[in-house]
Order: sequence, then structure tokens, then C-alpha cells
Amino acid sequence: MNNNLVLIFLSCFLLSCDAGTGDSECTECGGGLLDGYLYKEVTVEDVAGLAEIDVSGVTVGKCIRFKMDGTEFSEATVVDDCCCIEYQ
Amino acid sequence: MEPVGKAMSLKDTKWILPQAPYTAGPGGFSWFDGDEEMGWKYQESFHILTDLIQSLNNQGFPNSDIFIISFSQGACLAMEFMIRQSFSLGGIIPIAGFIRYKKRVKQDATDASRNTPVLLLHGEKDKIILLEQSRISLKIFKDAGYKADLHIFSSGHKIPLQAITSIKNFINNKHF
Repeated sequence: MNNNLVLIFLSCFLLSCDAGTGDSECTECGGGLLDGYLYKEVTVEDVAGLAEIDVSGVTVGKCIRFKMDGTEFSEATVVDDCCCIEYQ
Repeated sequence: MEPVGKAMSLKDTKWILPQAPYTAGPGGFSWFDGDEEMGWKYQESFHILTDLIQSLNNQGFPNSDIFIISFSQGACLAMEFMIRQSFSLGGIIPIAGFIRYKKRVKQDATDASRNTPVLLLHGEKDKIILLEQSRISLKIFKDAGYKADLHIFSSGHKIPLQAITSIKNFINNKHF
């Protein structure tokens, strides 16, 4: 592939969240980037897209760890907590 | 980062994720070494970026096609680095960062670097690096003659999904 753009990404080290992080903070943790995966709480708008890739156990409000291809979900898994890890 | 790149849908784009040179705790790395009392070291980090950009130039990539996306401490480095270069880049996108040496920007900024557009991104719920820092950075950049803008998101200290649109527009159209 011939590349004609270069993106240099400067991040920093990762920290785990405090084990005591409560659900009340979870909405603030959704939608971040970690290791190429995204985390968010499922919304009504997400349900149809997740059904297309056969993700089991999805309901509105659950937290998912996912990847996207453009605007479509390419991979998703229901996880216990959106706040477990985030960029620091 | 490959899936993040895919999510951005930027075609023909080479992603590079350099590792910070200084150690910071178990298994961690940092772009800065030191503390407020002893001062901060970052020359190794500058060397990494300088060598990387030189290598990309040698591969045929002009500086105008090179962008630096950076988060948190990485954003601090990107801003400190960019203003001191004798060339301009396609742009820098510091996310949730701050300018460590604010008073030095005007005196240290090179004329050539002022052609590098700056898109600042920050979450208004960020409690680690406050949004105010990006507002200050925006003013500093504008006062110093840079083309700069700030996009604010309703997130904490992270790269929000909505930022992808801002980043794509900035890179594809080179405007704010």
C-alpha cells in the first residue's frame, strides 16, 4: 500500500482504575481508547449494529469493549465495567 | 492502534507509535523525566521525534504530510517539540495536554513552526488536566501567531469517540 500521510501518535503509560470505582463514574469512562479497543455503554442506537455482528448479552446500559470499521461495529464483547482501565 | 486507525477511515495512512524513553514506575514509560523541583528532562524525547521525522523525510514523506496526534503527557511533549523546530508539520493535535513552559513559548517559538496548524481537543469533565489548560494553550498559540483552535467534548481525561470526527476533518481538510 502506498501511504501518503503519516500520523505519529504520542501516548503515555496506562494505569488501572481503582478497584473501588463505582458505577456512578462509569458513564465518564465510556468512549475512551485503550489498546485499540473502545469502551462505552450501549445505547438504543447501538443495539441494531451490535445485533448485526451477533454480540450476545447486549442490552442498553451494558458496557462493551469494541472495535469499529468506519461507522460500523466490527467486534464487540460485553464487559463488566467500563471503568476498569483507561488512559492516564 | 490499528482498529483506531480503521475507525478514522483515513486511507493510505501510516501510523507510528513511538515509545517514550524514560521509565516511570513498573512497566511504565514517560516522555518527561524529573520533577518540578529538579526540573524536567525531555531531550531524549525530542531526539526520538527528530530522528523519526528525519527518517520519514528520507522515505519521501514531506513534513506537510506528517501529523502528530498526542494525548495527555504526549500532548505536552508535542507542543513543546513543535514550537522549537526549524520546520512546520501538517499539524499537531494535542488532546488533554498543557504547555509546561508557558512563558517560554513566545521567545522559543521559531518562525517556521508558526505554519504548523494546532487543533487542541479536551474533555470538559477532565479532572486530571483541567480544560482551562487547553484554553490557556489556545490563547498562547494564537498570541504567538499560530493558527489554532480548541474543540471541547463532554468527556473526562480520555480520547472521546466524538474526537475522531474533529481529527479526520482536521487531517483531511487541513482546516478547523
